[in-house]
Amino acid sequence: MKKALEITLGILTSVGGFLDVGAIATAVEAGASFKFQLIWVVALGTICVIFLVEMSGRLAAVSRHTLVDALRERFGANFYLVPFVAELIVDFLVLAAEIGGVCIALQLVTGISFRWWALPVAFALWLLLWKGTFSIIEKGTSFFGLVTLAFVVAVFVMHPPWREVAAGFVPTLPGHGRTHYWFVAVAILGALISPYLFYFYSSGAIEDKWTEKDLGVNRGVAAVGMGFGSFVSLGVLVVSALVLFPRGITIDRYEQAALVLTEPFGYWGFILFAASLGIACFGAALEVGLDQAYVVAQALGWNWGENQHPSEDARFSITYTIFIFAASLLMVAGLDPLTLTIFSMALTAVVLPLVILPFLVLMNDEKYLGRHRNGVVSNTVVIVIIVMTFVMAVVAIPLQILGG
Amino acid sequence: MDEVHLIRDVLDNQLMDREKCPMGKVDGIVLVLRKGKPPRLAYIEVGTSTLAHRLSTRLGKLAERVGRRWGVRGGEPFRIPWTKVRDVGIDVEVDLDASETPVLDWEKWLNERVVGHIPGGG
Repeated sequence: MKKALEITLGILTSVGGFLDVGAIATAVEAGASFKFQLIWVVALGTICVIFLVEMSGRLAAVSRHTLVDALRERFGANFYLVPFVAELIVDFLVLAAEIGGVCIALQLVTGISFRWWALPVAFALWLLLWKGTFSIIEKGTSFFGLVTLAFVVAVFVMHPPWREVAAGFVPTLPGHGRTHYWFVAVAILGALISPYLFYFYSSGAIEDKWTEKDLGVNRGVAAVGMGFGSFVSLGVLVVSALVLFPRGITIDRYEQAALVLTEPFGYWGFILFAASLGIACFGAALEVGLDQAYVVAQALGWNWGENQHPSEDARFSITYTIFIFAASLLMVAGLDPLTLTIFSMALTAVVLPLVILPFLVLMNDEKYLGRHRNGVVSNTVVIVIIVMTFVMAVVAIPLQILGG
Repeated sequence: MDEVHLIRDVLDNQLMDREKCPMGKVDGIVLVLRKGKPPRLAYIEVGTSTLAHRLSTRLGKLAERVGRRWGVRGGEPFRIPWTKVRDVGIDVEVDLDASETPVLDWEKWLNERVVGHIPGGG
């Protein structure tokens, strides 16, 4: 019984953690521009993220190391510096984008510009981290994150052509805008396979004191939780394809994205969209903000933990404080949240191999994993998808920028 | 008898005090040369300047200057005698009390000067 409860909670958590500003923005963009044609990319990204999340949980449960600790120890500080700095930069931009998502949601509802919301939102995030515990943040995020299921309900209300949706699982090239097609594909993969998820998940497993006994729970949470999260992403994509694609609306502002739920649900659809965007991004911002502090503290060997009082880990607490307020300044400055989101997701795809390939080496190291080392299947799946993502990224991003 | 590989098992690993409290990581390992005798493993070093020196000489000098100017203990790396090392497993455990060493100086400084002044922090 206790195990069932644990699995359920874990799954809820990963649903909350999975859907963020990047997943929503890239799925809306994909549906609006290419109808169902990019569904296969969401499926591919999901498979990869399931394997990677399972690995980070397994690493923490078996070796009692977080991903950061293990990477630094195994490869040395000189080597680790590169993925460390890359992760900090990408995380910072993603954090700003998540804060931007919350601000846009508030702008949609109140009509007051997102720039004014940035500091209040940063303050609310900080207050929760300062006063809250890991479990409050984990469970709150997941519980409220369920509102995003509105997208899945919308799909069923709208009766999509199921045969066409299913055909989207097979890769095909569009007749127009191939550069943009590949660019959006890269952004989707970057949004789904976010390194912060693995750092956060392995730190969470340490905070929750996992052991080898939790490996079963870990497997269940990774597969069902991430799978479920991607189900919601697909919902966003399909609704966007049904509402925006036929009207030829391509997204360059979040206000247009809000239309996707007004067609099935009317005025309440608009509210639901704002609530989904706001809550998903708020939860993700909590996780990314906390993740920044985890990564810094673990890389430098500090004492850390969200369950401790700020006075027990002052450096850890000050780190997330600085990152959250600094990231919110990008929004105060008026940087366009949507552009920032898509850009930082694409950038994530570029730095992925830096983080993931050393991670894989670690997962095959007997000293850390003992008999729970990776098998051939996990290694192959992850290497193929990561290398493919990287190649697509270095080709598609320059072309997209050159083409405007 | 278990073998310990200094670079693989000690360098850059997490340091824990006797209460299992994290106290930084092993940034450097110091051997002492003795005339007519083999070198002796003397210290573990903890400090940003030690780490910076491993990356590049220039960065190391810069870290030293910054440390002398603004560091809470003048930027000197902290040395732990090898004889204090109790276990080298996943982490490196030493027979010390972290709060009595300078490695927590920044932590204490932040706690007194900043965190204590924020509501809910003290």
